[in-house]
Amino acid sequence: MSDLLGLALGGVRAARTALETVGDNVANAMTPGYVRRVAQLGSILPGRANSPFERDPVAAGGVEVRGIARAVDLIRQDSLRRAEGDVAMLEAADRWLSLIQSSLTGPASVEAPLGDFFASLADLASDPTSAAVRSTVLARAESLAGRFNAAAAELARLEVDLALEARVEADRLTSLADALADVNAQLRRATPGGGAAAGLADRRDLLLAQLAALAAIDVRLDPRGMATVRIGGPGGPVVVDGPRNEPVRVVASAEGGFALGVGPEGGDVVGALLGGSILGLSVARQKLLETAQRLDALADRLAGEINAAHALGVDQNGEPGGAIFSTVRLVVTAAAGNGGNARVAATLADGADPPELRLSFNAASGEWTLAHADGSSPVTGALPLTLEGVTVESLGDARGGDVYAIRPVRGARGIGTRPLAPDALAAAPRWLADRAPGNASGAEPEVRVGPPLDPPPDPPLEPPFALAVLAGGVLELRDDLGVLVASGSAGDWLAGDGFEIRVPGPLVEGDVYRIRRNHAGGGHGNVLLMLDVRDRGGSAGTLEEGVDRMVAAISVPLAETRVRVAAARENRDRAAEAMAEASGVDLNREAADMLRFQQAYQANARLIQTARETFEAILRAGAA
Amino acid sequence: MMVVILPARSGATVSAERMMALENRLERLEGKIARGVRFTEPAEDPAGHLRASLLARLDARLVAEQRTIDRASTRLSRAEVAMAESDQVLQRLRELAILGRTGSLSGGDRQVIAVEVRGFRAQLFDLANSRDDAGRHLFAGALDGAPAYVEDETGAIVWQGFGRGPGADAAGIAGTGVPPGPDLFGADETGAFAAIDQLLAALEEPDEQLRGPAMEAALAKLEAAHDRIVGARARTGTALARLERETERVAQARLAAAESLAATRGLDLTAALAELEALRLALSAAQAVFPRIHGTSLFDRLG
Repeated sequence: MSDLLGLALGGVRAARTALETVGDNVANAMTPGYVRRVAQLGSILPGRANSPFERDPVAAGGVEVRGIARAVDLIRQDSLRRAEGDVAMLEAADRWLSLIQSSLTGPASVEAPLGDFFASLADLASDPTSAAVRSTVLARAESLAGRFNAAAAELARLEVDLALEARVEADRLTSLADALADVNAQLRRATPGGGAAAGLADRRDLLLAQLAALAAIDVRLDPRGMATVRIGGPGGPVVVDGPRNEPVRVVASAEGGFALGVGPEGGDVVGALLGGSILGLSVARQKLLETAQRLDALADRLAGEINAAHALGVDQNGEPGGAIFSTVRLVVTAAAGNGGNARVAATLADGADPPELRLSFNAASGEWTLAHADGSSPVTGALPLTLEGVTVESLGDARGGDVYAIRPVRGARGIGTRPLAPDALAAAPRWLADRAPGNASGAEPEVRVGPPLDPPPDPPLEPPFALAVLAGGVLELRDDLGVLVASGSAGDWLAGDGFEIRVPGPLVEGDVYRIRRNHAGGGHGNVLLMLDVRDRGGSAGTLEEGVDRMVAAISVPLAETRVRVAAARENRDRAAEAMAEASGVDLNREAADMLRFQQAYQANARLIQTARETFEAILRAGAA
Repeated sequence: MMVVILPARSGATVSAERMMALENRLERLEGKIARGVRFTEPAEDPAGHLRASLLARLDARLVAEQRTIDRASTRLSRAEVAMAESDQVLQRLRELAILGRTGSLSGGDRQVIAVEVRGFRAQLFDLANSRDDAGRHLFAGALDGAPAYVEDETGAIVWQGFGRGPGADAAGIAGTGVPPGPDLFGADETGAFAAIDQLLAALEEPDEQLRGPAMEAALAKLEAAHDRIVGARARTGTALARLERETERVAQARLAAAESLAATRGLDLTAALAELEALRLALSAAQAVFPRIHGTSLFDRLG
């Protein structure tokens, strides 16, 4: 009977432990990362004495709780980690590519002001002397430059924010690795199969899932459950090994994205980014830098081609056109350690193209020093100071040792407009040509700016010039003194001194075409040259096509990313459902287990009662 | 900063996230319906956005072209008015020349004719220096900041313009600029003003033997000047007609662009509303089913 008591007692203990396990599961049904516990019951082998009342047991040994196991499917768990990593990567890329797209489209787009600028040039072509139209052209040029500046500044801000987020994610990765190393240390001390080990394993798996959301990792578990984590794949650098972990940082990669450096600074081992949110940030950074380069190229091309066309013409005073767009701006940055509150402003002389400069304040002498960034060519004294076309002034008080970097920026950040008066717009061609009154042919001459004659004629040629049609369709170009400059046929470009002229047929012998410098600045021919810039294509396409390609370079991958995000989320959800099926707490199942173990508990308790009654009967029989 | 929070991904969590995704889709669709557009950002339809950008740019260019055409039309119309008046002046001068050729006229009669001729000369001079609504000289060619014609030191009226003035070149339409002075009034030495001066000289010629041939020569030049003006008017009329046709072309092109833009960017409201109803139904069904599936468990049945 004592065997029965022992058996029943064992059964009660086992049922009670199983019920506690059910209770633990129900209590933790919504706990993040909790893996369902299973009480592992096993029958005790015969021959083992379970109580002091037994000497030669012949019946079964009863039941014991071998341990509390976690119902984890490692393969499903790994699949879910990878799926979470994919979702995190795509969501990060989606978020940042959307921001980049926003900086290029809608009110931020350069497309509308670019179109407005060319529209104003079209207005100028048909009304080249209108002061209002000229002012509009300059205003729209300024607006266009401003939009380039704003777009570039926004991209620069996004780059800073993106780098900050990447650093924060890397710091978080280090922090999680640190926490995982702690958990490993505790797992090493915990009893395998115990409740504490199960809880630590849950914590470990939660940390691994959070790590996988940041970067793709390779995980290996040892028999005690301690995790060894590598970045990327099985051959990647180790970030957690038992109770030790390495710091992780993001570094810029050669391709323009990010890479993960594992280990002490200076001794990093680079780990491959194969998943996780940091990979998404890396992809976004590459796209952002490409976009900034495209924007810079567009700004440089716009400024270069418009300025070049403008320079071919003359303004209303007959003066050659200067540049409309400036291509360099100055950015002043105060050093982070500056103690004063001085605000430094730097202005750039028209046409100057300075290197990077450095401004510092010497409290002892009360003087400022403006020099190249390497300290050469210093200019010292009270402000304002000027060096390389840069004049600096300040407001407020500086402290000794305050330093300011003055950096020239170009491209989209650097484009601006020069201070042109409306009458300085070179709408007119530098040379004018027409057919002499009385010409029999209606053919119109074409004239364009050309190189000066080399070597220069001696004595110099006397304008105006005349192009005469001789017998046989021969053309002769002569100056006002009759000096022959060039000859040719209909359709040939004949080179003058600083110009080229041609007359398409039909030609009539005796006709004359006149060429003169445009000292009065009349006509609109040069505006047409500037308008031609709009349709100038080639391998790079037109400027407007360049804007389209810049936007498409973001919108197409963004569209693709969003499709992939939806698919990745669905994949993740299916993996999560599979994981939950294996490892999650299902209340119905726990309720059924609870009933089962409750019945077992009651049955074993009844057995204890039966064993006691039987024992009492034996005692009573013995006493009688 | 992205914070990674992993909820317990139970079936209930996944179902809730799917309902949230449905609500997000509904919200986006409602936004599109409110704005009447199929896509609100390039990534929703990169190819569509590109087409829409191209069409919007085309429309903007057509608007700029129309402004150019309008300006060219205005200048040509002004020029045409001046040419019509010049035509009448030259006709009257021809009549005066024919009258002056009459051998029976006295010196006094020829003086009266000469006074009238001088009046018409001044009128033609003013017409030759006609301005547009911006004050630019119509017939001065590229140098329209100064009068097209001036009297030189000998009193002769000469053209001091050069080249051609702006037309609708910026719209790609050649040959619609106002013709320069010589195309209307001829060369300085042989044109209308030279003919008028020759007529005045002939009227004042005392020698009857010389007066006749001089009158004939002047009349011939006036005939040629008249023919020239008529030809210039015809060409100007042709240019104006061309600009009218270009205006129609631009209008049609803008209409076609607007239709294409609406087709590219516009939302098919019928389809969108049908999709909206389908999504609402799906969301409503998911919300109704959720508590039935996830809201109860066996624990609710146990006493």
